[in-house]
Amino acid sequence: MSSTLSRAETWSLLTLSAACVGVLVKTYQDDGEPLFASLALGLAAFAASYAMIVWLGDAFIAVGRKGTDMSKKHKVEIPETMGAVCGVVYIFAIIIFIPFAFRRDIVAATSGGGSKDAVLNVEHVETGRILHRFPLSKLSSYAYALISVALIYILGIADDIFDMRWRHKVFIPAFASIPMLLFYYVDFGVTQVVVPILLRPYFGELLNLGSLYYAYMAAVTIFAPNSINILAGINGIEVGQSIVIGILILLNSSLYILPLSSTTTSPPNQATMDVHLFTIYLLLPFLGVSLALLKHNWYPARVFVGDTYCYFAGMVFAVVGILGHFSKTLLLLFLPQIANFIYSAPQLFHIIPCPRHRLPRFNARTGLLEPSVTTHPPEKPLRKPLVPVLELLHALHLLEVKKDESGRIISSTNLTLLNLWLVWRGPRREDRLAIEILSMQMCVGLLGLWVRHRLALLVFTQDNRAVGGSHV
Amino acid sequence: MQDLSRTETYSLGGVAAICFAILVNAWKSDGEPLFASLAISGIAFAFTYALIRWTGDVFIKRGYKGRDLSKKNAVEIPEAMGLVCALVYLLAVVNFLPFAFKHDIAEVTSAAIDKDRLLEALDIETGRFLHRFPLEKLASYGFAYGTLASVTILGILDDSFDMRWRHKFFIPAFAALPMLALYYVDFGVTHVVVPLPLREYLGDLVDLGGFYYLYMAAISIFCPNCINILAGVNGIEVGQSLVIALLIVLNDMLYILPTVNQPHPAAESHLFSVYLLLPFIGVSLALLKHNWFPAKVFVGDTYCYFAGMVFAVVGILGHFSKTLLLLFIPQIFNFIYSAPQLFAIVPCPRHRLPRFNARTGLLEPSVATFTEEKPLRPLVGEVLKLLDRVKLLRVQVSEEGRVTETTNFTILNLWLVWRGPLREDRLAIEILVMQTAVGLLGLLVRHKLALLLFTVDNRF
Repeated sequence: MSSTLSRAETWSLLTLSAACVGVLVKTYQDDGEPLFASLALGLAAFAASYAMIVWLGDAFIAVGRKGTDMSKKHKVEIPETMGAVCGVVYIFAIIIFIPFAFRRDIVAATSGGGSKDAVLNVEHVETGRILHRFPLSKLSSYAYALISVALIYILGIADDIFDMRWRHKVFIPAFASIPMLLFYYVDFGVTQVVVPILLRPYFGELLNLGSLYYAYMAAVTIFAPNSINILAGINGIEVGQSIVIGILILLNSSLYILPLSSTTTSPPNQATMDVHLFTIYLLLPFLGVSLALLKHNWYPARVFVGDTYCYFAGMVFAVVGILGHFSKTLLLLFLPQIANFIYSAPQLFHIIPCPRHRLPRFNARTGLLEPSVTTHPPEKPLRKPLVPVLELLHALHLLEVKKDESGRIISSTNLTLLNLWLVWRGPRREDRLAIEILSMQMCVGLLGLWVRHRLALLVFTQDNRAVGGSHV
Repeated sequence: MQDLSRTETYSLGGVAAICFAILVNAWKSDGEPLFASLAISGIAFAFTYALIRWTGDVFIKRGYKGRDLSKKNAVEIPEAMGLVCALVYLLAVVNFLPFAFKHDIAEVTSAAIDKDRLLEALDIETGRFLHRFPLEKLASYGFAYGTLASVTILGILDDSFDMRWRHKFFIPAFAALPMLALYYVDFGVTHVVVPLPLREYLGDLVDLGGFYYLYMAAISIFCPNCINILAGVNGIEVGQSLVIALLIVLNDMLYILPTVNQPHPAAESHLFSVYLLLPFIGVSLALLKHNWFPAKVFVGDTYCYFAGMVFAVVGILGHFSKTLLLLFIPQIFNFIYSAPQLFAIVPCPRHRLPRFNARTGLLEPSVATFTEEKPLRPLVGEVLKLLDRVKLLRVQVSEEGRVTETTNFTILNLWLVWRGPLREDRLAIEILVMQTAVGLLGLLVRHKLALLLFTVDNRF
């Protein structure tokens, strides 16, 4: 892989960056809408990540951050852990965005442009500027979101460098989530959930989960990164699924901030708008860095993303879901990942033997991917109770077993969504498989959002979009 | 993975257990942040100590290793152990945050207090209304933490990729951006108080405007880098950081103890500084135990970045950055003294740490040599001879009067010129004692003599 940008790349990235800087300067001077600044930063983050991935590839290989792509005829060595570049660019993009997010609040509080009653003068150098009615909780939400992402990023790098054991890795996101949970407690503290109509006779309208709610949020934070990490193994799938989920969340948030007259009788309240704008501001740079990474990681991949990317992406989603008060909607969008996790569970928990790698097997002759299998040789046969279970799953078309002449199971396909898809659809090329999985993710997500908003009325008394901001 | 000895296991376990008990107690009784901070620092010490021992092999396997050149047998030991410190520190502070705010939350939401002061939780749509909750305190911790997390990330990248000095130098400025953002958005004071002698020219207060941010960025760049330069002897990086940290805590105490009128307006920010420094002292002590002569691990650039940034953060957000610089006087001196070599006015060899004499087992000043083919510029040669005359270095002169070698321009070498060859730990101890003495003197000057330069010592 070359370590310099081509001429076309250089010019287009430079132009893009210049345009973004221009937009940022103008937005700053004119107290413009932070949304433009966020868009500009997202695009600038794209340009920066794109270039840095190209420039740093050799440096990564030189220090040992490299891997071999097993699903190619010619096994080349390419840089690994490129998610590290994305993470750094993302963190700084958000930091740079913060002044833009608060520009109007500062101006309102300190300039003569607002009503004089709203301004308190600078009194003394020891006490500083008093920012009356400055949204300090909003400021804190950025800080704590940033901390959570930074922490998980550090732990992700440590994982990639030191190749930690799974039992250590699982809890990393939980620790990284503590700042965010603290902030939630301090700033919002709602631990009640709205009960579906069907269950109301038993639980009442609102159920207070108390500290279980925090356990639930910690679980979301552990789950999101790890589940992206499991739905992996083919070029572009980790970044691709993250981009799809990111776009779906953006779509969901837009529904709250756009003035769609057909569905709302009153404009959305300020708190809801703020929280969904916050989500959008955090997601735009994420999409920027992810698109840049996808460009290099898509089939045929020139870089690998590493566990760092999966942790990073999962945490960004967990943060916006929790601080944006739509964690259940987030889980709806994660349905394919949840399905993959449940489907994988027997192997993850070693009920069924689990090989080191479960990614689809590459057939060098055809150039296509086929389901990978776990073999059960005569020396280490499958445990007796599992045989009927596997045969049942085979009958239900949920995996494929091969038997020898005596009817003993000698191999079974590995329990991952990617392998299952290949069982259903037959061998296909790596990029075709990725596209199909991503399309499935997009459809399931769109369906989920549609169900969430249209059918919410059947399950709850109101769709929270029409009225105000309760947590769903 | 190396194991802890039985004594170590029992003592560390004991320390951790006691601290945990204190922590539980503190939580029950409304937070008690100071005790919580002390307890968490104790746990951090135990955890760091153990982790360093347990992960040494993994670090070596992954290529993070170095040779100790100042030993008879130059063994290979793990490098970049500062990463472990930084990570445990970040986790410790994360766990401390609830204790810092428990009192404020309890104050605002308990039914035990005056009903007038309590605003009810209105509706699930709006959530609990935390009236008069110190949100700026929450934001301060958040952005300080963001800065320290950023510098840890950049330290890891530096130790992983072995960056060139010209790139490394500015890393801390990027890491400091969260703090600068907070300062801009939340506080925004860019005035400085002018010393009395200059007031006729500049007035009482001078508004530095954007330069203040440059000044803060400069402090963020300066602190980590100059800890990094005063290095090369076992235990010196961690040792100097510990000394500085203890001096800052001493300074903070002066504002918190009942010797001044409480609540002192600066008490809040000095408590903030103490809460951030105690876990730092905990993890650093653990690292020192493994890094002191003879070293079993190296600390890496990660530690220097991390330590320097902790100081920069507490100094800036605690509004005592000039006092901080006073405590950095030895480092500042070392930087100025090193400058001719750093900027290549005098040729600079790859390593400038003191030279180990295998025969005596002592350290001697290391030198830079100038041969006939690559002679020193005549003017520079004369300056060097002058510096030799005032005992600021030692030169060797050939018969023609040409300078053939000079001791390297670092404070460690200079100390050896003055005191003769010393064993490595003796040198480290003497430097640290000097640092402590200079720091104490600096604090004395700052508080007693402040009245000469300004109209008030802000302590009263």
